[in-house]
Amino acid sequence: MAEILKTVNLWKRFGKVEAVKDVSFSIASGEYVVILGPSGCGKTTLLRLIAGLYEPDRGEIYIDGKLVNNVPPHKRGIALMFQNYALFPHMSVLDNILYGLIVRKVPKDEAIKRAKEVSKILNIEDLLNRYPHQLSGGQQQRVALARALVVEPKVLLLDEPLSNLDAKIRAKVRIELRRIQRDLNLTVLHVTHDQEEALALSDKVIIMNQGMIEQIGRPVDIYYRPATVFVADFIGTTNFIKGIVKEVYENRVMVEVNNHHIQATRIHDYDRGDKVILAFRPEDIVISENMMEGDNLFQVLVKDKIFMGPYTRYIVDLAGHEIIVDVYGRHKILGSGEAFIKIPSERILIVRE
Amino acid sequence: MLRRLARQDPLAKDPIVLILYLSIFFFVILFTFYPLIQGFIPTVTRGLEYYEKFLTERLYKDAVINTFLIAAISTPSATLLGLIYAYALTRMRIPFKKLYTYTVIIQLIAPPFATGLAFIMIFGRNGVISRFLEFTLGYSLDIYGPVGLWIVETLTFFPIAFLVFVGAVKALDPTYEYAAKVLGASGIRSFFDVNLRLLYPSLLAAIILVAMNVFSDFGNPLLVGGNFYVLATLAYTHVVGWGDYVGAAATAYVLLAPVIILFFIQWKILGRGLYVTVTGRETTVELREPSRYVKIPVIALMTLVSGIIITLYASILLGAITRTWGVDYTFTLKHFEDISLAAVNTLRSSLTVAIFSAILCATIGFFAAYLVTHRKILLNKFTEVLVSVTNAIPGTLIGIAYILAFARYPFALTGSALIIVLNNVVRFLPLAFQSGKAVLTQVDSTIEETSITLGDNVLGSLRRVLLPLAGAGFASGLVYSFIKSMNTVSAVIFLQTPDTRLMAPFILGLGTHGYWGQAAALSSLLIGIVIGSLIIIKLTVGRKIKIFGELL
Repeated sequence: MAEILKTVNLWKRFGKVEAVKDVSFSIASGEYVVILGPSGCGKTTLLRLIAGLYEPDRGEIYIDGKLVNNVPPHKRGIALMFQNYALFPHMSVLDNILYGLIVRKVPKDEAIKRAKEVSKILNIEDLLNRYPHQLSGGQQQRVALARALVVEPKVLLLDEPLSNLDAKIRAKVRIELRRIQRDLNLTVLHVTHDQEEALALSDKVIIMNQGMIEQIGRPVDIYYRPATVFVADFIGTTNFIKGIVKEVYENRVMVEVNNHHIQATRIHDYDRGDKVILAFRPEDIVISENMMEGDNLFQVLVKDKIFMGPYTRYIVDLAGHEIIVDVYGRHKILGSGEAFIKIPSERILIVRE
Repeated sequence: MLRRLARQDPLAKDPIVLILYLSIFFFVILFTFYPLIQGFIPTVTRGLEYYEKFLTERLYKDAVINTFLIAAISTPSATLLGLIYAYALTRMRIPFKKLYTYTVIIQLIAPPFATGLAFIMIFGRNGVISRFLEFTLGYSLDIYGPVGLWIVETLTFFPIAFLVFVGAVKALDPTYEYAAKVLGASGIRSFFDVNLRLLYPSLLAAIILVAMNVFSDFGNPLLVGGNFYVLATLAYTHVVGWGDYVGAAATAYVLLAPVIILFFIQWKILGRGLYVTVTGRETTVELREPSRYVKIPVIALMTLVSGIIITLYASILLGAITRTWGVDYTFTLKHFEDISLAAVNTLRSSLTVAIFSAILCATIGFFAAYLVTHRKILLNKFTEVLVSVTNAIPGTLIGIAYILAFARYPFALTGSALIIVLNNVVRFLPLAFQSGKAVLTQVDSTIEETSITLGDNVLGSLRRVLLPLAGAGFASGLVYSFIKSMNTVSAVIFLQTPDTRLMAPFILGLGTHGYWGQAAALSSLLIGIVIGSLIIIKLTVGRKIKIFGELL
């Protein structure tokens, strides 16, 4: 598919803070890409660089194959929707939606026709004569989206579009947003700090931390094969244990943790004595009161248990490390005291410290 | 350079932004700094002889001492009175709140010399009370001089302190006071330990603003000062009495020194607001009343002050329709008839000047406010100082400087109405800028950015989105500069000519020469026009416009 948006070695500094460091990525036409990262990671700065609201210190931005570094925002063919929606409070819903068309000198008749079409898709036809302050949060969000969509942007930029909605509506809007994007074959770049949102919506996730890209990948890859400790920690809940490489086999590594030995699947080269971090997810661990078969089997002490509804979370002690174990579905809840856990070696991420 | 400065804000690269910056920059340079320099040069071309007088000659030395004296005694009293009014009207349950508020507002919108005029109509040589005392007790009251001036300046400028405090007291979270009380502090103690500490920046700001105004005041010292010369009246006497413009300029420059120092102190303090706790919304915590021992004296004091103010304006109104104030109180409209010709002429030129001044002032102020609030470039702080600095320049000085600078090539403007308009614009620009800024800072930057990303350019966004949204700020800038232009005396008194005679200086002239009936008649007319224009703008622009905070 054709590349619609590309950034090459983008840098942006504010005073002493490097907000965006050497960021390169690309988005294909019709792709839904989410930039995910903690607050202050530079994701919004990146979005504003692409929109032309900031100027990069170094690097290039291409939209539809054209270098746009020196193109002002209103000529980049993008639309940007802000977290607060930024609806023009002095204009009706219809005038808000028409705005982008009017300033582009689209004939009035055609502009109204297009505005009505978009309103239909977003189910806001009944609201066209209202003013922003007469709308609910969800309705405002739709109007803002309609206003952005009606100009048929090459790339639609969304800055935390769902974070002003309450949790129930957010889940609903998420599904709808994805449906609209597919139906209209939109190219979307969406910025959020909400990992669930990122995983649920995107074709591709870009994880940012401290101005740099940590990992780019499909949601499943990001979740199951985090490339860095940061990604493993940031996405979902992860147990981390520090250890030292004891033996290196052809496709496995033996790591010593306080006199216990844990086997992990080998992806990179390691030497004996390397200090490493092991990362594994709570739901990958099997816990039982009874002894089990296989490798990476440890006796632990159950210190605490928390019933969370869909799953039960156990806090267990393994060689002085606190480990979180999540057990999904209905099951007989374990009592306090001794138990056994099994950590599948293929589910353990191993990285150098 | 602008390109480099615009790194964090590519929209600043739009040519319109450069044009706006340059226009404002050159306007302020040409009409503020150029005359100030042109006015200063002749005072030093023959050495420092003009300034040496302030160390050697009695009259000059006294004027300096008097100016500082009157500022030193009026500032604390006006500030304290402003604080009491602000605290009482926002935090106490007292009857007739509106009435107290209106007496403050009338002081803000009436010409500042109105207080002095009414004061001498009551306590002056032929004043109502003076004559009463003379007849009954044989006591002759003399209020001309520092004591009378102190009372008048306090009454004239406490509303300025009040305005500073009202916002601050409203923003003050009462939970702090509760916390102090819960911890065992008494009501008075918690006020001093908590509230006053939190109000500290506002307190300093109020003191400085009041002091700047007292230092620069011209009308009241002229009316009430008698032989008690302050620098502003001494400068005026140089021009009117002796025709010595350069001496007048030198005197005005001596006056500039303390005021400009106060201005930069103010800048430093307000620039940093250390203790300001602005919560954004007013708190809903139920307020407990202060004890009776606090409340009763406060109400008594406010009743006295507001009573005096009401009496003052009542005297002006009555003075306008009585035959000979102080002697013969029969009803007459003769004063209006006597001055009808002058009234029509001065009113016409005052209105023309005020309308043009207001439009130009509000426009420049609004664009400056737009640049400072919405364009993020390094020049912002500088621009803000540039358009606010005239706040610190005494009207007397800028008036005299204008005569000296614009009397000759290349900018021969003296005698024209344009010079008065330009002078007003420069002087009231800080007000228009502040009211534009107050509203524009409320408009989130994403509003403009959305308009831009939707395909509009900077000018289009300004016209289609920001101006309609911030119209209230523009309108209040218009109102402030209109009222000020109608009321001002200190600078325009030097710039008017027989063709461009203005109403406010004309009234002041009538007042100083004892034509009280006519002065009162014209004052009533002027105050009526100002109130009328406020009502009109309030009715047309509606609730959104904020004049004097939330007061009107």
